[in-house]
Amino acid sequence: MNWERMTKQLEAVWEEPVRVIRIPLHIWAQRARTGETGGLSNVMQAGKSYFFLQEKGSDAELLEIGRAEIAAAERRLLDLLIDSYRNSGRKEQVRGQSEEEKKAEMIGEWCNRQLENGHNEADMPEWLTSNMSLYSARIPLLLYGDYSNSRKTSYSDLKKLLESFFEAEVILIPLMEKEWLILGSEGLLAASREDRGGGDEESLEDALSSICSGLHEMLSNEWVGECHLAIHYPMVPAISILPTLIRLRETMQLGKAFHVGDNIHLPWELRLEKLLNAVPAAEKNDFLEQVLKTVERVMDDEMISTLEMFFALDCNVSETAKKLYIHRNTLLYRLDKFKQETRLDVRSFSDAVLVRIAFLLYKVTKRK
Amino acid sequence: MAGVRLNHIVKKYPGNNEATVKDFHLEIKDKEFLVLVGASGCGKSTTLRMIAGLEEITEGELYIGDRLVNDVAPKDRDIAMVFQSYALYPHMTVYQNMAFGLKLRKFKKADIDKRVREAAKILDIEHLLDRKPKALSGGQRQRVALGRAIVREPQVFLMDEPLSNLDAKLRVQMRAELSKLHKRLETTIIYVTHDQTEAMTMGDRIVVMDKGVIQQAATPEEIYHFPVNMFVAGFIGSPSMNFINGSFSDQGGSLYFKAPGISVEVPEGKAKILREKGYSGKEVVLGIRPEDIHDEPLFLEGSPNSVVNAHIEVSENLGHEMYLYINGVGPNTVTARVDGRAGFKEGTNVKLALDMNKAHFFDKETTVSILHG
Repeated sequence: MNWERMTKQLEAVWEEPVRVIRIPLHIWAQRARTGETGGLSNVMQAGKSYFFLQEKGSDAELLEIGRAEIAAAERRLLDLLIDSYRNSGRKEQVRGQSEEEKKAEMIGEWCNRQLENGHNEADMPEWLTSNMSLYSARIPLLLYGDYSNSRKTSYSDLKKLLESFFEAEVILIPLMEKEWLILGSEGLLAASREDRGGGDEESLEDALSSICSGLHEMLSNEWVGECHLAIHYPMVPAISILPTLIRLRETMQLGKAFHVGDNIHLPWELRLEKLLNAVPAAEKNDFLEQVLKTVERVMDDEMISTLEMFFALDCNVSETAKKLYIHRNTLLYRLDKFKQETRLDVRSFSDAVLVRIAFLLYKVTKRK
Repeated sequence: MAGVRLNHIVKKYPGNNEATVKDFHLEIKDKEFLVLVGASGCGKSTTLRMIAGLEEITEGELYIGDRLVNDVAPKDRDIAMVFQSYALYPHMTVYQNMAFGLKLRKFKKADIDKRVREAAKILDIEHLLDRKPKALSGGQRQRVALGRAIVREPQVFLMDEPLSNLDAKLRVQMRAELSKLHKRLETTIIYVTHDQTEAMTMGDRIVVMDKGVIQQAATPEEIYHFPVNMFVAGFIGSPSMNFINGSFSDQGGSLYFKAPGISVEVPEGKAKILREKGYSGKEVVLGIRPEDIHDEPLFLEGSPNSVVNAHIEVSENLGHEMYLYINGVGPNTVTARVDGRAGFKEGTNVKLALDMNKAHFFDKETTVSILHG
């Protein structure tokens, strides 16, 4: 039972110190006999008030409030509040899991076990696939919750939310802590194909990207907090759940490593990063030693954000200056300064490629 | 409706030596349009994300209204977000996009319909309700994102550079519409931008941030005319304020600011304060905005003790005004803004006068304004 939130709220209300303490049960019993009591569950003594929270082994956990004068009505309200917190804690412990959730957990455990043992291509056994609609094509997404541990989330709430978004049944598989595999309805893509009029060129990647972005937006607004999402091409879970999970985890790992601050990770946008990640460490260090040495001394925050924007806008000077809210000449000055220090002109294609690669590796190694 | 209180908020990411947001302490009034402005990486978006509940607060307390919300999920904070990277739900119509949050909260159909249509009317997107996002322009999608936020009738709107993906013309138009919307909805808005024009035109109050620290929180007028330090003075205003290193010297009972090529008299009122603070004879930085450097003969005649001789290196004629980049006024190039019809030519010399009543002085070491810090 985490009483921290309650103590913080009470401190804010009373502007007095409030804390949780532990004393042996028998001493609490004694205090309860000899101290001035304000009720069955609390005691005033030495200018402070104590409220019983719960037994912890042979100790009593008490709420200590830095004042003795608490009105009777306040005392009763506090008893109600403590009771309410106690009951919500018990509900979390005793709430049963649905059959569906239990099955999903089993699938998650099976996936984790197979991958740990290196069985990356195994088909799902029938006892897991039965009654789970895993033989139809699904859009796979990996969700990783990036929120505080003090926030609680439930399987059923998340599933309901996802099904509201997908407007169809969703298979939600818990994997590690705060990590879920979402198997969404492929119907969204079918609907997108129907919507396309003549001449509409939206690719499969664009459609999946929109779904992923939309889902992230929805979860940010309607769930417990921030999250990371990776998406992959539609697949049949019963046959290829493990390779898909490997690819999703790789996509998320690459996205988080190379693009800190991004929450949506798309494999078709991380091809260069995937290639660089596969380069042996010795080769990487060699490259960095040669290129990064000259680049590093000009890599302050301003230069990093300038180059990031420049590359993101296809090396267009005017657009980059606009986006950075700087004069065009200021941007040219910065690019000239970079060229002067490093002898690399990012306005030339081959130098731009070199700097982009060095830049990606620099961000990753700097964090290490 | 509610105000927002940030009590000594700190954000520190694991592994970083320095905090991204340092001791952010601010009270935002109910119905206020507050703008957080600063360069990229100054911590303004991180601050907004902490208010939204998308970033954990390392230290300090956050109150929305009277509620402590540090550990409250975003969906339970009674806020609505419109962020730069907003995404519409691609498979839903505009109507469904706007209704989604209300549907989750089990609002009655009639109430959902009422709110959606009212918001659509305000945003002039009633004719788009049956369309899907793919069929919308950038500006229309922006309005739908706003509509999705408005229907929630939140206590606080949080907007992070919502206009940055729009073209310049549309941005100007949407800026005006957001200001009108604020007046109409009478809700607290916290708006992040690094466009100082947006900040100056939209905010009731502006908070200028640098490296995770609040530099100044004040009305646009106060920020512009009474900046508390060189960072604020240089950040707000375009072209930027000119800074000239020099020193004071007493001459015949008057205080003069001197630097290479300049010797200008400091007005009596300012001189008194500067002397009282012990700056006579000391090195300081003079700040003067381009529009406070004059070429009009009337001004030159009326202020003989603030005239400087300058050499025009570069001129930019914008039609209604001209920027002169001049040398010989202090050690660095100075920018002056004059009338577009003045007809000055590059490579020529010119007499200009500094409006010393509008001059600012900054401590050279601390960069704090001596008169307003």
